[in-house]
Amino acid sequence: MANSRGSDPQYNGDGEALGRIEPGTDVDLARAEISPPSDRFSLQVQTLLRGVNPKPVSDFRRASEIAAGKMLVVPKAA
Amino acid sequence: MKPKSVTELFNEAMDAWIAGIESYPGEIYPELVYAVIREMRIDFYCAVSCNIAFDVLELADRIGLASKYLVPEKELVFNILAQLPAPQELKTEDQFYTIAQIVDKVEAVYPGALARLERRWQGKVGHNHAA
Repeated sequence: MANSRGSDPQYNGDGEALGRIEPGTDVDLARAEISPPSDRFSLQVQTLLRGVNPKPVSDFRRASEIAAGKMLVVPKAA
Repeated sequence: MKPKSVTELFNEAMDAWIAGIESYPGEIYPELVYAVIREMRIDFYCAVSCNIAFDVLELADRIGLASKYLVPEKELVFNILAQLPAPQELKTEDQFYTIAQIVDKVEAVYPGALARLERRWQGKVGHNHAA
């Protein structure tokens, strides 16, 4: 898991706010969540989704937001 | 799960789009290809934000092959370029440099690409940028 660095965690939802991640840090997406999500596809492209595995696309979008220093949230352990 | 670099994840995202085009159940048509490229705009913005200087020519070639060369490669290249974030959307010197690297590679093959992009970007400044 990428180390949490920086400060000003602001997340008050169900997860644990970790603060900001430095750009270039590898991201363990199995544990990472960000809010708000940015993995919505347009309706037109949803016609393709039977062939597209949307997970790699949403993984990249989430990872890039994390790498760009946006808020990272780790969900609470079950 | 082993942590992955953002570049690896970008490549996997592009692979997913290409696979989606390849396995489209019906007959591919140009507007669908353009719609996918427009959808990739977010990914291009994310890539530039993370300083990933991806290869537009290679990506266009892969999309062309996946769509059975329905759209000329040059048109795919310029469609991808049109989805890149404009300089006024960028925040750091590194991101400017990344865009320059991406465009330079295209300019070497398609001279005039940069001038065309600059006209487009100037038009964005002239109009309501948020629109």
